[in-house]
Amino acid sequence: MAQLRLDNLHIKYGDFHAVKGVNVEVKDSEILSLLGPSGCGKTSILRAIAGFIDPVAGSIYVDGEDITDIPAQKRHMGMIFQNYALWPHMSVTDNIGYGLKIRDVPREQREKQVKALIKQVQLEGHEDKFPGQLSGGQQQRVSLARGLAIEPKVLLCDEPLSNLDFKLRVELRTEIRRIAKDFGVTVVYVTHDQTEALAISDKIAVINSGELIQSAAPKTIYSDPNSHFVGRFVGENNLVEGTISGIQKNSAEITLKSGEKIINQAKDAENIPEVGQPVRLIVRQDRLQLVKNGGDGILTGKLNYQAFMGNFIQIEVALADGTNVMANIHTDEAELLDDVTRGDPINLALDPDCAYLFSKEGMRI
Amino acid sequence: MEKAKEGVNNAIRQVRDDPFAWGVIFFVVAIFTFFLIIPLLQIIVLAFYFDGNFTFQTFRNIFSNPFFFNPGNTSEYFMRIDTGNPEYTVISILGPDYGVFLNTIFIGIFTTFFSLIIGTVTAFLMARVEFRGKTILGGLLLLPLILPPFVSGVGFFAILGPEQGLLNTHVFTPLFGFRLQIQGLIAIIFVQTGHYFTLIYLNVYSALANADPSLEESAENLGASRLRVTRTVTLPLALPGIASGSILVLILAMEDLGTPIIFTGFSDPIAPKTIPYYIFSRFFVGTAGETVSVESAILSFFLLVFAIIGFLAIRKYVGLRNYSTTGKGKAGEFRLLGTSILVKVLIYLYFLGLLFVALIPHIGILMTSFFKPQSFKFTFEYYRRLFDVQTGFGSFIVNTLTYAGFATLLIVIIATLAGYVASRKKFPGQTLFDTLITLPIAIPGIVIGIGYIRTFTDSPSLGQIGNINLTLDPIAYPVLLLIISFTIRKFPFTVRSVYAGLQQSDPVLEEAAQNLGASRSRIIIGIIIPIVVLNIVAGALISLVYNMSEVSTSVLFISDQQYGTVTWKMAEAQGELLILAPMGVFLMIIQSISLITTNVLLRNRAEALTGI
Repeated sequence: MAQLRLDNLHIKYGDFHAVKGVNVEVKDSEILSLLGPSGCGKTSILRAIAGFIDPVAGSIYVDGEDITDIPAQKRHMGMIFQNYALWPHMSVTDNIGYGLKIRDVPREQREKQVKALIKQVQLEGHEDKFPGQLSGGQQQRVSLARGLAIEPKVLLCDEPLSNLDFKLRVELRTEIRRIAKDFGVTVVYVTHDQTEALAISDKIAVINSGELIQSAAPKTIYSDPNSHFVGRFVGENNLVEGTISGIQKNSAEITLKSGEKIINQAKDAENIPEVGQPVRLIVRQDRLQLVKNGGDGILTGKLNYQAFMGNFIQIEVALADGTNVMANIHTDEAELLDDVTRGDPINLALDPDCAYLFSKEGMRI
Repeated sequence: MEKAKEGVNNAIRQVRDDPFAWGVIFFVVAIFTFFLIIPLLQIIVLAFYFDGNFTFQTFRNIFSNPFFFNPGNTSEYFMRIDTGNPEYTVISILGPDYGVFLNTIFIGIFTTFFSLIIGTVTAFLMARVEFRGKTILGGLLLLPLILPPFVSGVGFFAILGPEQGLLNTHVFTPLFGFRLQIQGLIAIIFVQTGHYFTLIYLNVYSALANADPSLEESAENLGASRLRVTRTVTLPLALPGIASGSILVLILAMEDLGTPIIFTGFSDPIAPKTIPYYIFSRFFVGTAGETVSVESAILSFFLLVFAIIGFLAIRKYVGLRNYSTTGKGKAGEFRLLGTSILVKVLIYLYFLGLLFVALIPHIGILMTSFFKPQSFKFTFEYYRRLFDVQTGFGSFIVNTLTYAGFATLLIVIIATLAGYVASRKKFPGQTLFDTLITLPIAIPGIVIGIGYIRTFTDSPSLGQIGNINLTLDPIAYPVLLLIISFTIRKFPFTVRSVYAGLQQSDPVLEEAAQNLGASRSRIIIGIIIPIVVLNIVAGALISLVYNMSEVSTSVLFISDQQYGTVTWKMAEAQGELLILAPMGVFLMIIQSISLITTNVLLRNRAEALTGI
């Protein structure tokens, strides 16, 4: 219902520079995730948007209007907290209706709206219960309904699912996305869980040490990371090191520390370092294929272990230099693993399109 | 029949399965029945039975006697300005007098009311508003906690007394030509509020500080103004703390004996007309077979009823509405409310006034104990007399330490066992057990004292060991009964501390030892005690210090100087500042040391539990 823009946002706690000049834009009705490890500043950004923290520099715009100096209670944004933050002395109905009461919505209309929301978040029958009588998942549904009740310009979610167990987390994130889309509300969603970010967002902003690293659609973040950090943080993958041993047009030949040679298509041919320079390669676990024989473009090593995971088998292979590489082999394509035990040789072919090359500073090449 | 048999068999099996725990339960219940329940029942019997019949007669007598019950105020005057003396005008405030019974209720209600307002406002300012100097203020606000009995009253007379008070002699008279004399219920309420507001402040402050900041933030986020957040979220969340603090203050204010004793010592006409003082001064009747007067029994019964209702209300209310446990951990810190300079100035003025009232006792008593009256010459003389065993009051200190020490030893042993069983064993009647062992905290000492005198006077002697007469008869030899009354009365402090320590420790630790074959006694000695040793020590220190400043049963049981304790001597010297002041300082020092030690012990414990 609104468009949100952060312009060069800086947040400091005393001497600690928590957020260093972040620029992000969220379109109307879009879901933006702020993704990053703990302590990266993502929650600080969210709290600044909510108005709980004053940024030391930069501005926050909603629909083009600068709201940086507007107090929290006037911003008209809903918020969902990690620990639900439901008022223990109020019933489910009273919790959800609180914001409407503050807006002096007449009782009759308020009750109607709350009823509709309770239906929307599937809490019928729990109207008169108190938060202490609800499960974690139910409490977070109440919190979601409470945030949505005021028809907020922006819905802010602060790791709302991290106190829930895995199954519930998966279920609820789909539901949050569905409900948010039903309401057409703009959402800013903080999480450290990359799967959650990929599943729920229209756009992901990856944050590290207070800086915005990459901001793009989930697919781009996953398949085209702009930096070593994003590549490592998103998706399950391996890091292997080597040096440039040859350059041809747009591609580079890399000799890995373990000895194998790999040809890799560079994204930015002009940035390929000189021959002899160290580089890093990120290889997705699910893009390694089991093959019979070794050779160029094939990683060769010895099996450390294999673990049956259902639809795939996870194996760990020690390369010649001691680097451990993990691979997820689809169960249907795992005949080659049948008689293999610990220490037996393994050959893994790597899909050059899904191996990303980075300079030693971590920039994508 | 079959069912009953089955029930008995069941009970026997339970006891056989866990003889240790059941042994502890029976032992503790027996002690508390004999030394708490029976004496209290004796009071009720005395109040309502006459010649073997149930009667309301004495009850009616009390309520028709204006000395006890007089809704129409009989006070000589409320406020009077006397210009008879050429040197100064005397402004005298006497306040109302509604008779012994209503006076006590009046004190209870108004002390609670003022403590409630001051305590809550102070807690809110400290927890939610931004201003400088909070660390120092936070420390100063704890000082009213180290006020042993009598000290508040003594300090009041040292500063505000009409004849000797510093403000009157050195400020009001020379500068303004008047003397201020505050007496009666108003003075008692003033003194009590300066002391008891701390209890509400601490309760509310911890409720506010431990609440989850996101509960307030989510209300703000939905558009609630600061005032609205306070009204709809902050205060309701602090309500259990406010309620339990208020009930506690109500009970303590009504049973306070120390303050009326001191005020009576300074010829206050209304202070003797309070329930505790009345019982203290007139409980004894000389007639054969009757050791306690029926009026005392009825007034004790009233105090008892108030105390028990209050105690059960705290348990029920706080137990039912303990919000602090519903959230999943605490997120972030509270953002403090910024204020304008004008508001900050008002806040500082408020604290200045509050600290003046709250610290009157400390300043007054220190001053009196070190400086000679009138001339204000510095002296150690009063202290020298205090510690001199031969000629001075040293024997009172020795007696106090002996009785309190023995009682604390008994408390530690029984409370550790009882706390362990209460925390780890599931058994029918558990709630009742828990109520029983924490109940003494609420029962007014004067009531327990009266019950003991009624129950144990003329009990036989089992012989003599050295100086010790093995009897519970307080008139023949008060020491043993005193130690028992100390043990019962201050038992809850240690048992609560032990229980809290055990609740924080996971029973899995004990199961692990059990799994490896350790017996119950090995588990207690090798696992439980090391885990809760700091809680035991901290609880024991609190019990010790309250034993040392115990007033009610000491002043009731002791009639012979050779058995006297510090508080007994203070009650006897009720009007003499020079004796009272150094003794009060002595008790204050003991209290401060143990309070600080307890704090250090438990804080480190908390860190040890989470940090390592």
